[in-house]
Amino acid sequence: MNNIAVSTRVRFARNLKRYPFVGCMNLSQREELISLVKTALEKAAPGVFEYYPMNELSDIKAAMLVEEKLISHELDKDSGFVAISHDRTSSIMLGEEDHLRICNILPGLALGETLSSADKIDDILDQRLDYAFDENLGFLTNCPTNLGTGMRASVILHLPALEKAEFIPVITGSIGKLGLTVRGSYGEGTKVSGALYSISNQVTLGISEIESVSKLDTVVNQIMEREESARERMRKNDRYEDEIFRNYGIMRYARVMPLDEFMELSSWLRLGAPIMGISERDIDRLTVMASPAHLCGDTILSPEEINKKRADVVREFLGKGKI
Amino acid sequence: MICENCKQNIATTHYKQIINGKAGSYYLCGECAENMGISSIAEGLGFGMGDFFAKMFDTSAPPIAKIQKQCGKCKYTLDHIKDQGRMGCDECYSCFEYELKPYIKKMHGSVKHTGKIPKTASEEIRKSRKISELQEKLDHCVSQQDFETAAKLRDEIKELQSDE
Repeated sequence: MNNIAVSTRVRFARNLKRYPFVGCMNLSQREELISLVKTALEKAAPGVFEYYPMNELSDIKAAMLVEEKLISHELDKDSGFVAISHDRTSSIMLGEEDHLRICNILPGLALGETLSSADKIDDILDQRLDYAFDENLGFLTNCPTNLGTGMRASVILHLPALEKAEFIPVITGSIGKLGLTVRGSYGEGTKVSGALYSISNQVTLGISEIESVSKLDTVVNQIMEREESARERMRKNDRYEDEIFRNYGIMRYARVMPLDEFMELSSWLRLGAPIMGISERDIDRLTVMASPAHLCGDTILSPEEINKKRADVVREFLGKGKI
Repeated sequence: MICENCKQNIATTHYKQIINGKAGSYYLCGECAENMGISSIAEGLGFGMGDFFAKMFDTSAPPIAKIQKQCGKCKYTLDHIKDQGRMGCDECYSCFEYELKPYIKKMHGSVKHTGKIPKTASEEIRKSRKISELQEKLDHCVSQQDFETAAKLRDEIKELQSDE
C-alpha cells in the first residue's frame, strides 16, 4: 500500500500579538516581522534556512516554489517572505494569510513525523515571539476557520482505482461528517489531476493536534485499503498491464505533452510502478520537473514550447534508465 | 463628547435605536451621522420614517452595521469582517465575541480549544487547562464507579483551585 500515499504535509497558522493581522499591517510592520522571525530562526537553527524576499524572486522562481509546494499562491508577491530549509522539507511563509505559516512536508504517509518536525519549528519561534492566543479560541488566526490549533494536516493520496470506480464522492461525503475534507493536490480551490487527492482536517477548534492527526491517519489508512482492493480488482482485468505499458509507451516516445496529459499518464506510471520496479520518489521528482515553471527555468517559453520541452524531459528521464 | 464612530470629531447627534427590544444609544458627529444616512435626525428636517425603518430592517442596510462598534486595535467593524471573512487583528475576537461566537460554534462544533498552549501563555491559562483535564478524568472515573481515584482527582483539583 506504500505507493498510494504520495506525501504528508502539516502546517501551523500563527500570528503575533504585537501586530494587527496581515491585511492591516503597514510596510514597516511587515519588515519588522521579517527581521524578528529571521533573527529567531538564525539564533535557534543557524544555517538551516535560506531566506527569500518575494519581491526579489522572478515570477518563474516564485512559481517553481509553488510547484515544489514550498509556498502557496496566496503569498504576497510584494511584501511576502519565505524561509526554506536546505533539505526542502520545511518552509515558513511570512505575509500569507497569517503572519506565519509553518509548513513541513515529507514523502509518503508520515503524519507523526511531519507533525513533530513542524512542532519543533513552532516551539523555536514560540520561545522568541509572542503568539496571539486565547484560552478558549486557541491560536488566533486571520480566518476563523483556522482557530484553535491553527493546524492543517494533509495527505496526498493517489486514488486512480477509486476514481475509476466513481467512489470519490462517497469518500467526500462520509469524511465530511468526521471534520475532514477532500481537495485537489495543491490545496484549497485547486482542481484534481492525475487522481491525486489531498485529504485533510477541516476542524481545528475543540480537537487537539494529536487527536486530529490520528483521526486523519485512521481515515487515510481506510481509504488506502479500499484503493488497494479496488486496484486488486483492476489487476484481474486482462487489459490492466497492457494499459499500463501502452501509457508508458506514450510517455517514452511522445514529442508534445500538455500538462493534463502528463498528469494522466504519470498516474498510470504510478499505478504500474511496482510492476516496472520504478520508485515513487522518482515519479514525484519527474512531476516537479515536468511542471511549467520548472520547464521554463530562466527563460520564458510559450505554452507550445513548454509542452514540447515537457515531452523531451519525460523522454530523457525515462530513457536514461533513471527510472 | 467625542463621536463614537470616528473618535475624532465632537459628537453633535444623540442617536437611539431599538432592535428586537434591545436599545442602543450612540453619540455621533454631524459628518458620521450624515454618512450613516441619519443626518436628517441631526438637522431635525425632512426625516422620512419610512426610509429610516426600511434601512433599519434591511439586513444588508449600512446604517445599522455602520454604527456597530469598532475594534480598538485595528478599527475594524463587523462590516469589514462580514465583507472580507477575515479579522483585522487578534483583538477583533474579543471585541466581537458576542457576534462571532455562534458562527465559530457552527463552523467547528466547539468554542473550546483543547490543543497546544504556547510557552508564553500565562500560568493562569495553564492551570485552568490542567483543572479541566483533571475534571474530565474525574467525570470518567465517576462514570466507571472508580470513586477512590475520583476522590484523589477531586483533591488535586481543589488544591489547584485554592492556589488561584
